[in-house]
Amino acid sequence: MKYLKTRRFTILILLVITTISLSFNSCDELIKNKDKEKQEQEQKNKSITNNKNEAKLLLMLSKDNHEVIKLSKTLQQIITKDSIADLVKTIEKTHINIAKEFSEVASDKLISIPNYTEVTMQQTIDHDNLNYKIQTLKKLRAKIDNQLYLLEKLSKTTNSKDFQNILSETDSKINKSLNKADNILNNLNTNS
Amino acid sequence: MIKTLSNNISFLRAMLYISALVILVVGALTYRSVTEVTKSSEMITHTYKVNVELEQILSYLKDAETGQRGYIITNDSVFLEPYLSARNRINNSFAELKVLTKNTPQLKSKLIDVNTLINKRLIAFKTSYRSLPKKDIEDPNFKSNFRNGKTLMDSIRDQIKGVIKLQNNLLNKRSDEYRSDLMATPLLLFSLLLCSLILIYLAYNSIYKNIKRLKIANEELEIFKESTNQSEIVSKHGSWTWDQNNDVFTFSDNLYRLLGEQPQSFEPTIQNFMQYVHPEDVEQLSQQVENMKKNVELPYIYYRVVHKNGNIKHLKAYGKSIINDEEETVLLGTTADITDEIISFRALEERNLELERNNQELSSFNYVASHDLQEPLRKIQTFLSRLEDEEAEKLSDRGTRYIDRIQNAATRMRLLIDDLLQFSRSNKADKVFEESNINLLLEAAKQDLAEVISAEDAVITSDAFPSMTVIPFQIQQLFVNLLGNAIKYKSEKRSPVINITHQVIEADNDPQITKPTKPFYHKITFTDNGIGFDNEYADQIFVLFSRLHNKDEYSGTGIGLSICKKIIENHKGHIIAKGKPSIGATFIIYLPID
Repeated sequence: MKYLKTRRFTILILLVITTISLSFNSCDELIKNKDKEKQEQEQKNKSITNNKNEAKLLLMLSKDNHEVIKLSKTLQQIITKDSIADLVKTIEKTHINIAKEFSEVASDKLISIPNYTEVTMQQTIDHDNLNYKIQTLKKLRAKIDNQLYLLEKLSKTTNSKDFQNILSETDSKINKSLNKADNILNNLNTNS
Repeated sequence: MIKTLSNNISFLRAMLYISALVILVVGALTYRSVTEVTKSSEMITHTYKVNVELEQILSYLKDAETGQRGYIITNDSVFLEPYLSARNRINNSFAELKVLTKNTPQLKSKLIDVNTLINKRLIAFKTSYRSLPKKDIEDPNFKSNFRNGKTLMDSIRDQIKGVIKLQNNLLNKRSDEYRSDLMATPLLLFSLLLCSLILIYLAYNSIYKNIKRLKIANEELEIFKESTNQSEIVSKHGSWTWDQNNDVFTFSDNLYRLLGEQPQSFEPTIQNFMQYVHPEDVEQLSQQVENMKKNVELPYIYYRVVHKNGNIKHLKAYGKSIINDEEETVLLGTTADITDEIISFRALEERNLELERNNQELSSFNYVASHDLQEPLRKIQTFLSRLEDEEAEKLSDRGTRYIDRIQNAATRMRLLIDDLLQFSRSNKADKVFEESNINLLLEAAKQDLAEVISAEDAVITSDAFPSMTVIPFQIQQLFVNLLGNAIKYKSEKRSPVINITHQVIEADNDPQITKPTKPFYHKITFTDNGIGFDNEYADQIFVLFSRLHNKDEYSGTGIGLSICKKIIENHKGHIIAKGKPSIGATFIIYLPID
């Protein structure tokens, strides 16, 4: 009977411990689950916002890139000096390449961006007007500069390492384009 | 009752464990089912979200298309707003879809295709309205571009429909799973709850029965307790228990009364109890209590207690150890007030002594009287004999007749004195038990009666007897008396035949032996074919001076069978007589075997 008494006591203790453990565990599990759910939802919302921002920035960048290509093409028509025209051509090529890269990335990242082939030429009004050239070049420079700002912002927004690498490469390319644009602008200002 | 309750407790314990298990299973299954249902619900919501986003994309494209048409018709750039914002909105939807289809690569590749088509469609928008020359919608180039746009739009719609179909299939599959979960869960839960209910009912039923049984048992116990209390009061005894393991005593109410106190008026400890014990008995009782604690047994012990008012009571205690259900040794004891018994015993002892003294005096008187009476009787007989011899001729006939009568009376008196002497001898204290040969004693008795046996032509048959521890001369006297009796009361019609048998019997198997002192007895049976007697006189014949017949019919003093009874009583045995008139008598002697 003593054994039974001890056994009964042991079973009671075990039951109490099990109940407490289960209660704690289940409560803990519930809290954890709730926290996890909340975290997941937050993560999801964050990802969506991030994706949206990424798409928005890439679209803007892409549009600016198209503007750069379009302005390059315009400048090529109005600049007569070969050395400068070559420089502008280089800028155009660079940005066409960038557009291609953007197009690939956008396709992979499910982002709709305009195709560089959509770029249409603007009819030049005054070919020989230096002021127009300078204004167009300044516009080009401003677009490239804006691209750099957008690139930096996009680089901060995206979580993808690959994309960041591409953006980094693009950044250096665009910086070069900016230098080139600055050179052309200096050249034009000097000649004027 | 205890066994039934114990079985029921086991049953209830089993029920409890099973119920707990069922509840755990129900809990686990419910948790699992609810989780599954939640998951299914989430999946369905997820599918709906994907579909909604895809529909949104299509809707944005449609808006863009409508806007484009409006612009073509009105040439108002306001209509281009849906087209211009389409890409942004589509990208937002894709941003949502990208997250939603993160774990579905198949869907992602389809969405990439959709995106490519959308891009183409957006280019086609631009191309078509750019190719419109001066609002000439009949321009073949414009028409071609416009048709191309429609083709692309159809492709997008088909692609989106395909994705939606894929999603719907997935949704249907998930809906089915969700439905089956919803169907299975209540069924399972209901079954398990039904099981629990049945178990609870069984347990309740068992508890109800147990409670009913316990109630009856409690009532019986209450009655028993009250009757025990009353019987303790009436029989002047109290009870107590000693829990050896915890060294805890409990005293019954009447035990306090035996000590001259009110029930439960002090703490039941051995120290408190000892305060009431008579100072002369304290040491002895303490020693016995110590022995009790050591041996967990208490033999009968006697001691005295002194009440506060100075009354001394004699108590007797006894204890017996038992092992209770919890495997603890508990000593149960009773203490009885034997003061009245002691007083009665002492009075009885005194009276016994007095009686013994009286008996002794009476025996001495009997012996002396019998012995001393012989002397004058002998003289009377001697002088009567001389008178007859010397003066017979001088006596008249009447005188001679008177002398004859005196002679007869003297002879009878002599017989009476002899028998009385014998009776007093059988009462005397010099009873020496010896291992004796009964066969020889019987033969000696026969020798004593040889003359009569021969005269009456009596036949005596007997079994062989084993040796017995008896008072030899008394047993011989017993045989002489019984054989003499059988011959004396012989039938006129036949010669006396006496049969003596012997057997060893167990006391419990023979109803004739009342209050046996030994387990086994010698049974010696004397059967004769004499005149017998009516059984109603069976006890009377053993009474001193009792006679069933007139002294003229059969001579005798009525002392013979009384002597027999006395001899048998001296041997702590029994003698009984049975008779049938004209057929014979039987005397059965029971002698205890040591």
